[in-house]
Amino acid sequence: MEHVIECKNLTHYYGDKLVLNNLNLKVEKGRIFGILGKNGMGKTTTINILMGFLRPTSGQCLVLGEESHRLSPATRQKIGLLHEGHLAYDFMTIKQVEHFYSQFFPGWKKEYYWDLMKKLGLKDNHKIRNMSCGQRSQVVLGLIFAQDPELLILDDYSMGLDPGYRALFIDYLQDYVRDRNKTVFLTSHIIPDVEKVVDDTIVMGYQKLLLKMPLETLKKDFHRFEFHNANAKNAIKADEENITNVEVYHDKITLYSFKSESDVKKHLKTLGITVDKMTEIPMSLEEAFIGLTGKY
Amino acid sequence: MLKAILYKEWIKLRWAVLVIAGLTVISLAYSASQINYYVEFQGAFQNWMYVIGKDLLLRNIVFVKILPIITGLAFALLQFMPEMTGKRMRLSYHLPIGEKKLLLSSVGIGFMFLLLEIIFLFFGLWLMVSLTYPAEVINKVLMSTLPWFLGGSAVYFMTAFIILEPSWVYRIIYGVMAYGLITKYYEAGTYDQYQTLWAYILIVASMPLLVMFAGHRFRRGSK
Amino acid sequence: MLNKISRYTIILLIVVVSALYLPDFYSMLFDKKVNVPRMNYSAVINDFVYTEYYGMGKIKYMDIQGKEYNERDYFALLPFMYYGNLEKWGTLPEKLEGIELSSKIIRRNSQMVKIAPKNVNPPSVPLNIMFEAEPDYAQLVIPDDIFRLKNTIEFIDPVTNKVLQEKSKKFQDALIEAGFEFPAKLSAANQTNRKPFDEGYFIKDAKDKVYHLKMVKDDPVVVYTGIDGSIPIRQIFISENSRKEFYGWLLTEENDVYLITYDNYTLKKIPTKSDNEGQDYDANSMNFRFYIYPVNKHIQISGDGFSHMIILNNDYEKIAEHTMEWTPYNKRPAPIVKQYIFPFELSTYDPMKYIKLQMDCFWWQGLVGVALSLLALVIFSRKRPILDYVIVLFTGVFGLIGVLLIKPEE
Repeated sequence: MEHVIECKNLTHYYGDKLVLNNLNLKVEKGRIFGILGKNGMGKTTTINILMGFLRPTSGQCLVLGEESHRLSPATRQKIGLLHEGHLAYDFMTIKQVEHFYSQFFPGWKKEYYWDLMKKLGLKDNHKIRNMSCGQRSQVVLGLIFAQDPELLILDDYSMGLDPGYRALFIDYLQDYVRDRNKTVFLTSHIIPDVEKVVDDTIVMGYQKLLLKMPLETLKKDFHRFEFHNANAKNAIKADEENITNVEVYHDKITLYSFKSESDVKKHLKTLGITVDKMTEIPMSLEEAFIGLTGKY
Repeated sequence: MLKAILYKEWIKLRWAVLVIAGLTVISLAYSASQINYYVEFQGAFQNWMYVIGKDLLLRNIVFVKILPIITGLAFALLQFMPEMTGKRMRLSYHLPIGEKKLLLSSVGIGFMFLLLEIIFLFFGLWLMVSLTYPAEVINKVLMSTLPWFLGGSAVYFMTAFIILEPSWVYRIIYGVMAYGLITKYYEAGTYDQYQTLWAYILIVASMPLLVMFAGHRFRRGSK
Repeated sequence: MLNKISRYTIILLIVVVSALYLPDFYSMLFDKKVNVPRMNYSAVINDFVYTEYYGMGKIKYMDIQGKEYNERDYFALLPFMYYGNLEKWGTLPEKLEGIELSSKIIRRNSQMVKIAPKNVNPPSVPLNIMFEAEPDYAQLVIPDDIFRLKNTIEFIDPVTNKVLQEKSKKFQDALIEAGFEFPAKLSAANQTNRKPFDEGYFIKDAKDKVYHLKMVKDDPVVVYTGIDGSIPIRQIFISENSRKEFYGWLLTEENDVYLITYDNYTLKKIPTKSDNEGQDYDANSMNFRFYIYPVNKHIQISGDGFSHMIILNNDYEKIAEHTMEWTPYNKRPAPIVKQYIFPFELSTYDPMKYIKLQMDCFWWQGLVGVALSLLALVIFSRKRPILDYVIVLFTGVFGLIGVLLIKPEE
């Protein structure tokens, strides 16, 4: 199997409202994918479809080769889900929840779970209900690790976590995934964290996929140029081809583009704008994300 | 895997199972002492006449009507509210077990515990009534309680059904439906008035199917 | 597949709930009260008279010849009913048909027999009490034991809940000696001490023979009444009355009513048939009343839409007969419309005092509602599984509500 996730022409409506329009996505095995998107861009919808809790209006979404809304129990065994808000059976204790889950997975690796729990330093009969969000995230992560799935889908893992637990989460995740050939599909609001861990980024725009590429490539090929020209501010428009986004502040113009500096200059010339001095300003992933999707 | 589901449902229900069993014992004891009091103050014969002619015993054992309702309601709430708050049902749906099997075993286990409570109550009542009254009275009283036990079961299934349903509009429809059906189990005013219970049993027996429907709708994200 | 089955299960339950409640709601909203005339027979004018209510407290007093009376004149026509008032007003006639009239005489020579569906065979606990028929006191004395009668006769002590062996054996032996064969199929008594004397029990044995059992000075007295299986007895009613004309009456499976007379238990048949179709007495749905007055006897059978009266003289010969009719329930406007709206109706009400789920189909008229429901489904909601239409075809508006509320899940 080449692709762990494969979405074809995914379209979804909530009533009359179109949220996903012909989305196509393929996810290769053995990499960590970060899915980024502003609120309301269909990120949650996509994740819900992938997790099998929503049947798309049309199109198809194959996860490990099966349609996501009717995964067989055998396939579900190979998928580890972290639900938004670190959902857990909060009426159970640390020990009970491990005992419960272990019975569903023949390859259950309890040591992964108990290693994490030891570090947490809580008693075995501590109820999940009485834990902080961070503590709970460790329990959930421990369960996913013990399940030892091929594919991990982590929905908004950073929600409600303070920086310490966020870092811990990332550390454990990286540690776990390394050399195990796991595929991870994660979303988060905190992009600097994502930057640390992901191999590939997937950026969602309005109703569609904006881009999917390795983080390295994005960092290398996506540029931000700045120059001053009071006359050009209305002449430059974003297009698919050359200029991804434009920001204008008084006479300062910021351009985002996948083209090189000379190509951008050439393009500007065709628009009748000559730029003498154009500076490239390096970007973090967060800034690149804003550049891609706009500030608003 | 069934064992695991049983384990999970037991964790949710165990306190309630004990509390209801305790309430059953207390109610039986209270009712027995009440009967004792009547017999003492009215005389055994007069008390029997009230029991035979004026349905005294039916008024005495209202708890046999109420306890299964409370149990059905409590069990369904305790089992399915934690699953539905914060969409925790998603955890269960991702377990490597078929959706139908999961839902049927969950309500099956809850119903089994309800049944245990009912059997406990039934035998307790039988014991209590047989201490004072002859076979004819025992027979009539126990027959009178059968629709109540069916009613309690209906309460359990309909509550589970309503909780699992994702849409509020549907929940209201089901609520009206549940009220309409369930009140029909409590129409009797005197001993053993239901001529036959088959239709009533059939209705309760069909209810697990409803739970499956709501579960499926939740799973699909229906609105 | 399973989801389809589940959906149709919900729809069928919605059909059940709507068929139980909607026709009821409809009736509560639209049913109008019908003025039912109350018929009686006046021994003064030897003709039938009646009253009719018009609105709040307005009553019209008539005879069937069409003559209207005022209240006092009307009361005077019915001295056996209103003798109290008449006596107070000083208008009670001294003699009627040669019989002297006074409150005391009227009371002593009157009796009423009544059979309503709810007391033909009501739910009850099969335990009985036996009075001492010849008590040492002025009134009947409540005993202190209870007996069961089925395969044997057993007296039980309520204090210890034990069988009183000696007394039971005495009664058992007495019954067997008289020829009684257990098990008892039916037993009847008037289990109250508010009566002038006690006649004990009339019991039908395994061979359908009726025995009379009572307790005199603590000993059983058993008499075979001569009544046997030649008439199919459904129920026996006992009512001790100082007139001592009959012990009680019995109802047969064929809706005949017989008095069990003191004349060596001979049965006297009471007419219960009518010349009009559908107005023969039916114990499951009609009320039967038999009034005995000093000068005559009234039989009144009333059902949905009619009241039939037969008047007998003191020799049980028919002297007059009359039927008054009004619109029966199902012929009134609201119920007629109801039959067009709903294809059927479910109810758990049973006049016999049981709870029984029963269906009342409206057949032809119901098809109108079914057709309209189908039409509505076709017009307002297209693209449906065939089974949705089938459901509506069979359950009309109930099914329509169901299939519209619960949309198909794919």
